[in-house]
Amino acid sequence: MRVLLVEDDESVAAGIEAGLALSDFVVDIVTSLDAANGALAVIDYDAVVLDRRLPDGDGLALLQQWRRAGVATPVLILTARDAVASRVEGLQGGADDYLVKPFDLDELTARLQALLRRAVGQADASLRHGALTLDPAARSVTLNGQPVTLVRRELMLLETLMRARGRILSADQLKDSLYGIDDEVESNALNVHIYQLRRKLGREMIETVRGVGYRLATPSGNGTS
Amino acid sequence: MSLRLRLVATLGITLALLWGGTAAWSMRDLSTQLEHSLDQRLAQSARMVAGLMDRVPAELWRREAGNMSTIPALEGVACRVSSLRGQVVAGTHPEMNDVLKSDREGYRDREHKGQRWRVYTLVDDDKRITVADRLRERTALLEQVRRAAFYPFLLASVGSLVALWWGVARGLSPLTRLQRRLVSRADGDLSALPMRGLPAEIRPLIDGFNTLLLRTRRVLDMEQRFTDDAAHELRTPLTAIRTHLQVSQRVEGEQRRYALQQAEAGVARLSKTLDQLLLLARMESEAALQDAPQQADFHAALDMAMAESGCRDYCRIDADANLRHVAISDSMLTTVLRNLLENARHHGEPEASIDIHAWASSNGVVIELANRGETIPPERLARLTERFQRGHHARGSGLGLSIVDAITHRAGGSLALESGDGVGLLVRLRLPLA
Repeated sequence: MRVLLVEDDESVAAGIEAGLALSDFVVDIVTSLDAANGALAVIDYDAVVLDRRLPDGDGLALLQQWRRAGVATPVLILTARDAVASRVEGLQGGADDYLVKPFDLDELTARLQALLRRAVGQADASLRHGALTLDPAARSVTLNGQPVTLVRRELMLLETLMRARGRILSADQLKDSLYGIDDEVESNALNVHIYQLRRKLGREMIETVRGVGYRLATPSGNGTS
Repeated sequence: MSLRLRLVATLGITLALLWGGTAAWSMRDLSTQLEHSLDQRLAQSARMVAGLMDRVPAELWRREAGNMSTIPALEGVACRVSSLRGQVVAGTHPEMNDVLKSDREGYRDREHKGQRWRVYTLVDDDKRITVADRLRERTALLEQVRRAAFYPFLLASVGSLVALWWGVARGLSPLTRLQRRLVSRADGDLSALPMRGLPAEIRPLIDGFNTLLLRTRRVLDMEQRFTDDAAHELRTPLTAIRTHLQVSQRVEGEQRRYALQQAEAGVARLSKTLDQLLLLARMESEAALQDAPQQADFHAALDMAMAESGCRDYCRIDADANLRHVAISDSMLTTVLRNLLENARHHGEPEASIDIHAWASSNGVVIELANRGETIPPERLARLTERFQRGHHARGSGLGLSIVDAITHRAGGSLALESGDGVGLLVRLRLPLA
């Protein structure tokens, strides 16, 4: 899952990035409203973590601008202001959630996952696709009730495909969800991960749509062999 | 006491007294005039009788003397003609001898069977004429006249009191409206009151009130900003510490070392901010900073400040040798210089020098500190000494210049900021000499 973190304090940003990476979030950090605007225009983020107090203005103003422009990306606001009035202001300004600094890392992760879940209209904490179940919080996958061991990127790739619920995702979209702006990506990395997933979950699990991308196959009966 | 009641009471009582006084005066005057004219009429009627008697030959009525002729009497009026010797010639009411018997000329009051009479006796040559008015008729007449005058008076006075009440209420209605507007305001509403439709007398009052509201609003805004700033400055490092500590518990090796190091840096930053805040708070609460006359050596303080801020290598100093009597404590001067040096380093061009210039002037010592850097726009320059105002750099607590400002003012000095022409920030301190 790819998250845009808008935070001007280097140390706080580094901490959040490291913390979210532990739950397999891919985090891009920008330090100003301007940069946030630019990043959101280029990459389709799954969520934005937005600090309110930034060198070039109030994060809430940017959020309102986004909402007016029809940007529906879930946004979690971070702030040092804990007055009820300012929370209400934040939520009314278009924020999906609100955390007061200093917050617990687990709470931030849980809230982000809840936001992602809500964004796709899913009530259950686990993602399901036929016989396949993925628990985003525990970072575990089961197939027909049997645990499957996946490495980090394979898990992230599977999560992205499962959240898409059968929609076709292009190779670029998949890469975006796996790697941050600064990550070095080998050209065949995605193919390697797809191959590994197919090997562990069954060949038919991931369909290749020629010239377009990949999607999860429609589940048939009790699942796959 | 309400203004309305006070006005109505004052004007009402005054009006009532005036009206009452006038009425009492005119009533008294009326009674006297009436008495007087009725007395005159009594006298005239006596003269009329005397005139009539003169036409009658004297022998005729002298002959009649002792042989009194009684004239049929009218109610309330009596008359008698008698000779000087006292022989009654003619008259009414023979039974009222005690009333009508009189020797001397003039008015007198008599009583007969419980009724009072006004008597006038006229002595004319050889006869004496006495006429009498019953007082009851006079009193009744006076009563009627009084009553006729009283009702219009009563109407006028009640009418004027009602008009007074209405007029005062109408005159005070802008005040009532204002009061209603004030009462119906929301608790936290600090917006100015509208001046439209207010009478000229209240305008200055509301104008003053609005000025006060504006000032209160500014103070509240500033307090709010301070609270927000303080929350931000204290919670941001706290967030960094907490996040990095949590991360450090879940990772190993180099990553763990990095996270702990970041947490450590956060603690250092937090404690620095706290120190600065406490220093500022202490300064603002210490009303009398210089109880005892203090003096600091500029060169010693600068030396210490350069050591503490670790920027000795960048400083270019051009200062008078004899600046040993600055009227401020050593530690305060050191704090001021250290804050300024740290600022200059943080916000200036990385390797550029800091120019320090100090000299004694006629009214104290002037210390100038300048770094190289981008020009700061005037509106930001003006707010730099506010607490928690920082440059674009995230480092620093944003309290440095506030502390310098507070110390300088407490010591009786002044602080000026300039920027431009390659100079990022030039700080000019004026401090008194001991």
